[in-house]
Amino acid sequence: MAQYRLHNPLAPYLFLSPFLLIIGVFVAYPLLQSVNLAFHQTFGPGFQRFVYLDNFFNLLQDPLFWKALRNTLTYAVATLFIQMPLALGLALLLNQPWLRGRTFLRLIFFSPALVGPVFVGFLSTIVFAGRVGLLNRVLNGLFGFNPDYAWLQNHVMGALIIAGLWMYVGFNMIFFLAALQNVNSDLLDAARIDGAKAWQRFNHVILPAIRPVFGFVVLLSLIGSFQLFELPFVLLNQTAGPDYQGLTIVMYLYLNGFEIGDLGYASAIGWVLAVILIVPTALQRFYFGRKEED
Amino acid sequence: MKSALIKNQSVGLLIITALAVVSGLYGLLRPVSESEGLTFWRVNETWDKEIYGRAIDDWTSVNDKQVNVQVLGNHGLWQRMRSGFFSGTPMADLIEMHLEIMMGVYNGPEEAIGFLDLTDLLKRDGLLEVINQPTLSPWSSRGHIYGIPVSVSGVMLAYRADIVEEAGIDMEAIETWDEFMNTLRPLVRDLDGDGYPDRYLLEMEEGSETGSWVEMLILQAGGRYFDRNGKVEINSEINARVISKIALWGARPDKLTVDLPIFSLAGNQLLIDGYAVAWLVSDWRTKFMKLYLKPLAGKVKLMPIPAWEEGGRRTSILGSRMLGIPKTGHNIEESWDLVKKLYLDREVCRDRYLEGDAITPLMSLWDDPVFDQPDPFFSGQKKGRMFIELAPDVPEMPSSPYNMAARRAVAAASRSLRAFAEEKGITSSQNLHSKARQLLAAAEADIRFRADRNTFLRE
Repeated sequence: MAQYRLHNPLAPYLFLSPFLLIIGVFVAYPLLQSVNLAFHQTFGPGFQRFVYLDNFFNLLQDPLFWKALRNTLTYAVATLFIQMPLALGLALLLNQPWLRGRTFLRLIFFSPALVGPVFVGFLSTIVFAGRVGLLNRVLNGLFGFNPDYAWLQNHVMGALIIAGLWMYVGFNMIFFLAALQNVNSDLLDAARIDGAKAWQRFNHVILPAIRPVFGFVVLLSLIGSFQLFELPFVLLNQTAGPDYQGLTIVMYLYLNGFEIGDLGYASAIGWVLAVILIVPTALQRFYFGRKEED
Repeated sequence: MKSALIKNQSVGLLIITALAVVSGLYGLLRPVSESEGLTFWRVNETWDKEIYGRAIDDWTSVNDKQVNVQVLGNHGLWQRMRSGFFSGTPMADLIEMHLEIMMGVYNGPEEAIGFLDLTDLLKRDGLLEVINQPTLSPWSSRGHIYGIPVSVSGVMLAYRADIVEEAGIDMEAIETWDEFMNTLRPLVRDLDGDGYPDRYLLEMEEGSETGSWVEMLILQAGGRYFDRNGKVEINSEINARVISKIALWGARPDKLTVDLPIFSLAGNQLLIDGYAVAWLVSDWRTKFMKLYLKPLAGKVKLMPIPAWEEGGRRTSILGSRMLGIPKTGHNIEESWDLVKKLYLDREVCRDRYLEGDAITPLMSLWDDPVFDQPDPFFSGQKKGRMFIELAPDVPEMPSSPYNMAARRAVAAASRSLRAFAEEKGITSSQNLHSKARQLLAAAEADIRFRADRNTFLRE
């Protein structure tokens, strides 16, 4: 194999420079600029006024921000406690060799992820619409349910969670399925021979084996939940729904930055969101890291 | 070494790199195209196409100047316009836009409003006095006028004449909202026997996504969300009285109003099916009816909105479109001349009424016989004249940048009030009044918090 010797000591820096340039221009500079913006009130990039920490103090008193945070947390908790078990349960089911048509069913459950949140949001509007909605039509036909019931006025978060389940259960299922297929079958056989029941096999063999993937999916879903934007934006017809019931943190960021034009306040929201996201990330790393060491 | 480096790279990577370099250089070195003549961005309203085509042809033949018309969707127009205002990207010489977009233009300091102040041009050409003043209000900020409205945007009540006449109801005898609801109440019916009504009296936005309908009725009653100086004024007696009534109209079990997806196929079909007996229409919205509710031709009539009390105002205002000139325009005088041609020329205004139902805000043209033509869609009524008779009573609409937020906040208060009435079984608006004031106080605090945060508007 040919050996090359560097004659120029600047060569490594030269090779690194494209990467550093791109990171500098597209990552480091915007990050620093957003820190700077968070201390300004702006009307577009052209009109800026230094407001010290006012944006952060205002956020603390801003009822809409708290509403957005509460909505986002509700969605994130639902993701954690409804979406994850469903995705894992579905993966366990679709990993069973006795199940016929597994491949087709996997595709069916994964397909909403292929079309994306805008499409799912749009379809959900048809499902949850009042007089002409699919859900009301079916419920009225079957049980005589009120055909005028306004789901998107009375249960915005419920509709959002259901649309989210439709969208992401299949997506997360794929990760679990991949992890389940890598569980050592010798261990499962040994447990079975030792008389372990299904729950014991799941708890003591399967779960520890898929724990790294589980942690990854939980973290990914939590971050995704906190960044929720397109789904409610489309589902609620480019609004935050009645009484801002569907307002999420990222929607509020968008509203301030791109509709009102205050990039400073939007940056402050962005940094608060970043801090919020650090907490579950650190917890995840701590918890799953410790489990792996055990 | 050079050849070894190249040899070790994949062909694909080299092609991608080459393409990136070439396209990057092309983007950097390409001259910005400066089109000849005036550029006009307009919103996508299909029936206006021919009217604009003829007017622009006329104007270009006289002025020997080309007009490049670009039709844009609302969102695209908003993004392009803001990019132009904020970052100096290429801008049109004339922009036509909807009210919802315009409110966002007023958020910053006065010098950041990207539109030219037209007040002096209107005065100079003697137009200020002949334009219906309330119609200018949404397009004005801090005492300056930034746009010319396409229509008066007055509001009337459209109702299903076939249904009410079959029931033997004389609509001309109805003067107030109370009379309207009480007289038409028997028309709320379960038509298919499933135990739920399939017909309601009035289409009313019951969520709070836009809050336009509640605002329309509050303005009619003489209420408002902001005073002329932009000070928040949501928690008032009038506003409380109106939202108390609206809440009761929508409260079960005696629900009289209904929310339906307007401007959608489903909403149109529901109107055709008689799901709502009446709905509020502005002059420009009557065109939507003709386009999308064709089976209702000859079955609907218009009447002035019932008043809140005897002798009260019988109309309101619903947002519309305007034409404005960006400050960055190349030739302000030519742009202004084109604005006058497109929005204030007698022939164009006649065409716009005949083909688009829009009533010009130019009072000097209101004597045109075109407005006296019977409209077969509206059972032969002289629709234009009816709107014009109400035009001087059209209320002012505040142009605060926080008006959209205020609309949503008040509509949310109205919605909460309805839920409260349903929960407590309240059937009298007087018994809702104190709760209404409480909810409006919260809405006012919310909007004041947001408005006070804006240091640009404090000066």
